[in-house]
Amino acid sequence: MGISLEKGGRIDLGKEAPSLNNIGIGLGWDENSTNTGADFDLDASLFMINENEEIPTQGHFIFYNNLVSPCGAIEHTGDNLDGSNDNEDEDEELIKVKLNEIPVNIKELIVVVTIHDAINRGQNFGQVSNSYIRIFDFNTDKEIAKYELDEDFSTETAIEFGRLYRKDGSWRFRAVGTGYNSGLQGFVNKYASKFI
Amino acid sequence: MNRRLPVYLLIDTSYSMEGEALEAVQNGLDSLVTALRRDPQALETAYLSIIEFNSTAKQLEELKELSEFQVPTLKTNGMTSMGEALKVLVESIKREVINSGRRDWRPIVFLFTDGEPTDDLQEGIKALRTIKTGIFVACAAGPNANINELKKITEAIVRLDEADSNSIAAFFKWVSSSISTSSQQVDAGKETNGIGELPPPPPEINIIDLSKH
Repeated sequence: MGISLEKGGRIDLGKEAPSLNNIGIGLGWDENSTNTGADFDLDASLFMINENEEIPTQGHFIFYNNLVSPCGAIEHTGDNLDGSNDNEDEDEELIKVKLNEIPVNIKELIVVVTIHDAINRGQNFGQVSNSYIRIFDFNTDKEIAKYELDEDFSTETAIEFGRLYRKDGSWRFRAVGTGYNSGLQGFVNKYASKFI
Repeated sequence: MNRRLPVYLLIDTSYSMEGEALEAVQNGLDSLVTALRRDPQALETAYLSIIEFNSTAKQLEELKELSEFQVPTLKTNGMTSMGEALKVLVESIKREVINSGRRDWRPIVFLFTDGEPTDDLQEGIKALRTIKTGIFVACAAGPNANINELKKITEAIVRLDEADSNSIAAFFKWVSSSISTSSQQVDAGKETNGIGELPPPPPEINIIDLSKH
């Protein structure tokens, strides 16, 4: 077990694991038994943003239709369409990050989870529990930090789980856990407004 | 004779388009018609109409086959009557598109604007909901195009950073190859539903497509 973070908590990855380069960002959740009549389809996405708080090109928005960043440093392992996997101990979605290969103009990686087609399907994060984001050493599988979202969300369809950011020459992670009602489109409007 | 694929182009000719942008659109339309006339499948299948909107909206060219189509000379004038343009589109489709017997394919629509509606867009959207179109692509050209208004019309939005001649030329080239692709798809019995089924847009065109294919 790595360090357990609370909402707003931060860790310095350079300090916790000095030689760390390949990390995995694992995301998990469980759907409550509430039957909304449609499959739950949750998506993890990542925005690579520069100092203007926006993505430099549309390739820097990593999601189900764009799985690898232009630099190759970020790789999304793909969309799990039918919601939750059956193995309780496994992450639902996984993003691989090679920290040393991220271009210097990228200041932050924002990791979000959204419910696909939430409005039409009448779904929200009130019907999802045990959500977490964890950072682990991809080479050794050793967990470095984990943030379990303990807040009760109700109408939210999109949640910013956490951010990796550069500070004083090393990468740090911050547990965010902020919910929004605007789905993935809302994040795109915010961080990718040039490209919509 | 093949079933026809009607294509409607809605062009913003408000005053802000004066100069380089209008000239680029005029050239873009000329190149589009020339390119499509060289494509045997499009020549046989695609029918074209142009509707302009400024202080009012007007169908400049009725739906015609490519061999008879003449690109009208565009002139700028006044405001951006986008709602009116949608109403003219709906009237034109109701009048021109054949709905029974050897019916036409669902019309595809491309709307080009560098600004935002200055009239009642909602009235136009209400009219648009009374008919069925195929894919409806709206192009927001330059920093002053209002994407939020366009989103009320369609999900398929492409964006140009600048309304300059390079970007506009790239857009019309993409429209032209999109019409070629759609002509081939209908020939194979399949209508184009999503922007993901059109050719990939050139780098001048920005697009983030959140739909799952």
